[in-house]
Amino acid sequence: MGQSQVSAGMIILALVAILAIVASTVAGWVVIGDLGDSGDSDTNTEVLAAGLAVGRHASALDSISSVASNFNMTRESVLASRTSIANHKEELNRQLANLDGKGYDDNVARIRQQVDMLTSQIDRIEQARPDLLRAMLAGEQSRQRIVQSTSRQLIPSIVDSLDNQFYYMATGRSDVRAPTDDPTVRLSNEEFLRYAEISNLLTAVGTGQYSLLVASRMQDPMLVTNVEESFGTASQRAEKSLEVLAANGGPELNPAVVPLSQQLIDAGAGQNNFFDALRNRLSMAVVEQDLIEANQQVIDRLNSEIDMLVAEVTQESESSSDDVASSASAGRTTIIIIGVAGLAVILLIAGFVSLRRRQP
Amino acid sequence: MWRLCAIILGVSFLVAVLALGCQTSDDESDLDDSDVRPTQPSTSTTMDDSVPGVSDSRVQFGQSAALSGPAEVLGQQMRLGILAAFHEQNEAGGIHGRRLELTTLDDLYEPDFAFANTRQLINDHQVFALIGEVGTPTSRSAARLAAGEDVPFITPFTGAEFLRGPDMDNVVNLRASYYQETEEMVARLTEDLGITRVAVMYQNDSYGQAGLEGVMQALERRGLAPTASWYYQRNTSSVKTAAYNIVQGDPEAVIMIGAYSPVARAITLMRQDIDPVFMAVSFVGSNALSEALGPQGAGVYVTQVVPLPDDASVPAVAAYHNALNSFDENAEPGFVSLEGYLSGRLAIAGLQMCGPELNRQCFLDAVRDAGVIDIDGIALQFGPGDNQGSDAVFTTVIGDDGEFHIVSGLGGGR
Repeated sequence: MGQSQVSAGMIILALVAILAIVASTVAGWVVIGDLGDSGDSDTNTEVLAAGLAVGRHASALDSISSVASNFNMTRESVLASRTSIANHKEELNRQLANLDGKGYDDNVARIRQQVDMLTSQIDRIEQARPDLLRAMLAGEQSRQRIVQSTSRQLIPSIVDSLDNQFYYMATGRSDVRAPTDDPTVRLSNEEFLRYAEISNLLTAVGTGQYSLLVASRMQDPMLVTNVEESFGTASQRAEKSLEVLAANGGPELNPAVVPLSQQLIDAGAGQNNFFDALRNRLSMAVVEQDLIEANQQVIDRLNSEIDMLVAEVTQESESSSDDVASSASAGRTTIIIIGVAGLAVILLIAGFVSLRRRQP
Repeated sequence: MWRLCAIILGVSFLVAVLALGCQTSDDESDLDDSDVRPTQPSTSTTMDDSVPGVSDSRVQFGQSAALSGPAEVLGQQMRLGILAAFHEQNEAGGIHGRRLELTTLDDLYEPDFAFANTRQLINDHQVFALIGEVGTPTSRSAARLAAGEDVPFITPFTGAEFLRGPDMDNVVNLRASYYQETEEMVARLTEDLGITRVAVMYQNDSYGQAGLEGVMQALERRGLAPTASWYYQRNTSSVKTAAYNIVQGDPEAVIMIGAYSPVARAITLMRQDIDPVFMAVSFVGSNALSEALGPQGAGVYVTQVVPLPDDASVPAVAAYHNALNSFDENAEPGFVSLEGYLSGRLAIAGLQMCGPELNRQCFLDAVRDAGVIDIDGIALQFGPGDNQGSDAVFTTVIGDDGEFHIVSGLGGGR
């Protein structure tokens, strides 16, 4: 009975020791595994996510702002773009802050430099956009006024005058004066001069109108002067004809011809004339276009910097991961060996004690 | 006891084996994790499959036409006819639950404004299709823009040949061409009256050129040439020079390719010196021409591309009367608004054939592939390479009562 009591106590003690060793082995195993899974890899994941988010928001900013001002833009769409730009800029700052202090300071500094450049250029585009849109709108309204008054009023009234003058000279009939069959009256030098000057005015006005319309479609401010020259030549011709017709236009001349012609000439001359406004508008458009092109270059550089950051982080992660995995593997093997050795020692001790107890 | 030791060793061995096994498995997991590589920011956007101008409750059409100026009646009447057809359909519940709506912008019969209007209708108003553009120079401006945007350009009020080309996939024409109208004119003049001295007065633009070309080809086929031809400026009534020059040619007939106001004035002027047969193409605006000429209009011929608007024996015309009366009880029937009504009906037929899943290509395909579209007895036939529904040309004459009458030959009209 005494032997069996000692023997049972020994067995329980041995089992407790064995369980303790097994539990310690498993615990050590798990702890080593956890050490391998955490640490640097979390930081690198954050850096990767933030870096990619910077690229994404910068591209979104560029796509919103790098659109040349056009007539489809409304006050509402411009305001909506501004809100969207502000949101992306805020998010960019947040992501850049996430990159700070993560061990990639040089890369982050270069990325921040490109982002600052991009946002600065976008600010310039957006600040200038309302003025450019206003100038474009004014230019379009001016163009439509010219088309409206010239095509719908001036040219028809000159054509009408010319038609009436020709018909009087050819037939002696008129809507506004007594008919005549006398060729010396209807074909006098005065009537020929009137016909010639109305005809000359029609040609000059047509050229002037065409010049203004061509100018209104121009994109290159350098070419404006050429068209202005063409308009100036036509204006001079028109002014000479208007001098004659104002003094002696005759009854067939539509009374709207002289004031409307003068209006067209004035549109291209004097202060704040059509061409000055056009030059100003095109200059603004050129600045905008330059900034849009510069934005694309900045985006390219930024993407390149982000690629470099990603490559560096990936390389770092792989290297760190290999080290951790190797250490963990060695640690686990060691723990297993120690555990097995511990178990063996306990079994040997238990065997030894058991044999000694059996000896008389 | 040794048995106990053996069990303990066995358990320990199993624990060790399992532990090593788990270690291998974890290594594979690590490999999988390291395989995840950062990707470029996504640039994909949500696909917007909505069709411009189409919602569950409506289909939006756009029209650019002259609503003011010397050709304003043409635009106003074309719009009236389309609206009457849309109103009739809307009263019947629309098409697949959608109401038909029309936005019309005034282009003053000027190509520059037609272009701007078309751009505005497509970009700002987001119309499903353009309908009832009035005029050749304006259509020339608008149709290319519509083609570039894949917007259907349907039933323009012009018979210009360029809209009937094989490359005009987005265009659906209702009416006969100017070439067909001028061929009919020359045939009647030469065959019915034996006339050989034909003059042409034409508008100085693509409309006038199309008509002039049609007359010249028709004359050439008969070994003839115009005895005189002269132009006038669009959107003016400055026709004295043209009238004088045509009178000098002493023609037996004058074909007029113009709008009602200048044509009426030219006829009045020419009749001071000569008494030829006057014929005008349908675009002239027949009712407005008759009104402008008054008693002097008797005997003036006009070719038409739709039936007489007063002839209620034609079921389509009777339907037009009902629709017009329902839409505006004060509106008077006329050739242009009848063409507008038939345009609206053709658009409705296309929408119905396309079904509830409406889109622009489906609409165009439905019209093209339909073969014959019957609008209350008026058969419109489309097919591959043929975007013109009707070839019908009717010769009419203004009677002493100022009304138009269909004639089978020219002899009795004068």
